Amino acid sequence: MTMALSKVRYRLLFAENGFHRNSIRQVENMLIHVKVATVLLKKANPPLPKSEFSLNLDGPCDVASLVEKLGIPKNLVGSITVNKRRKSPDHVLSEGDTIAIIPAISGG
Amino acid sequence: MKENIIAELEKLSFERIEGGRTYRSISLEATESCAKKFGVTTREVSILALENGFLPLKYAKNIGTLGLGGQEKLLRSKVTVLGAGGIGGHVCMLLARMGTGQIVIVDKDIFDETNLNRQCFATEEVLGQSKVDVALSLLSKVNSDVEIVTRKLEADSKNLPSLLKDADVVIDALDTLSDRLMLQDACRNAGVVMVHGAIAGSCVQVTTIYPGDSGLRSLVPQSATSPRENGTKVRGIEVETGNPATTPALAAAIQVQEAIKVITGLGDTLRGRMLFLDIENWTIDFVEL
Repeated sequence: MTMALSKVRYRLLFAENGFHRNSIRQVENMLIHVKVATVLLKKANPPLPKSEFSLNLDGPCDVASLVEKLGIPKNLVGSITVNKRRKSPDHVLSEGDTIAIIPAISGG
Repeated sequence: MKENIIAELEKLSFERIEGGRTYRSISLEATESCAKKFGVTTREVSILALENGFLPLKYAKNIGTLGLGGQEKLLRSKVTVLGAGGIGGHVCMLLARMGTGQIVIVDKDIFDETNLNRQCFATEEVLGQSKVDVALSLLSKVNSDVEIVTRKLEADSKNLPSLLKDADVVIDALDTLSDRLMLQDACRNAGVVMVHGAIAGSCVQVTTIYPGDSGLRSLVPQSATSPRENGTKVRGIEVETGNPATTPALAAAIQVQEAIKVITGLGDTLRGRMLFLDIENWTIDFVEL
């Protein structure tokens, strides 16, 4: 029963992201660790309660989608590292990844 | 002439232990009298002293990290600081205390009340006064070896080539993404190393960019890659988060250490990576550029 519901959820998720139905494949839930710089917390919509947290993703997710899921305006993001290495927005996340979301800052 | 100055230094020096080693040390008074007697600057006396194994006392506590040779290189160097605000003020103070030969400070602004929380040279007495003028008067009291050159203007693509001329290192203490990108381009063209530092709220970032490195171009959001589009300058999140007293000092300290490393060749720089610190919820990251 759980599996069936999960499959429906994956389908919905893919459908929202504009994937073709035939491209749907089952993916296990995936736990990632996220660290968001303090200055971005209040800018997220809705605001994020804390800087460091784990997140259970229910399907494939790239860096850009993660930022969107967290409600962080992408124009405020300077760079994103995955396991301490800078990654492009289309980098697909894997189970156990640690992601740091670093703001674009310019104050002097 | 040199021989005469060295003979005079020999006469005025005294033995003193610093870091477990005995140095023939030179007081500030002796440096000044020597400079006066031979009609040279105190910096020339200090350089000659260091070259010949004497330790000017004002640099005694630098020697454990720089050595006499590193201190001499620093005294012969020229650092240009773009921006004399939160970061820039602390940068200038630290460069002067470390004994940087020449510091060129570029800023057109005057002090206002919102600067008092964090800017090194801002006091209630100097509100309304030019930042570079105030910096000059205070820095010359800190270290008379250092030549301070002030330029009361806003850096732009036209004046940057002359501002960067002969600089060993440029410190980016500006406050907009667009100006920083312009500075990186100018540094590339001038063949000068740029040490970038920026702050916002509890966050600090620093990187050292050699000519031709991708540097800030790797970092800025797409929206900021066309600087000064429609005449507006692109700023970061600091517009909303503000800047407390701590982060400019932190950025400045790291930037000055980077500049010293570039000048002396001592240590490992932040070339090709950006140090990012969030001191509220502790993140320390090195972002590859």
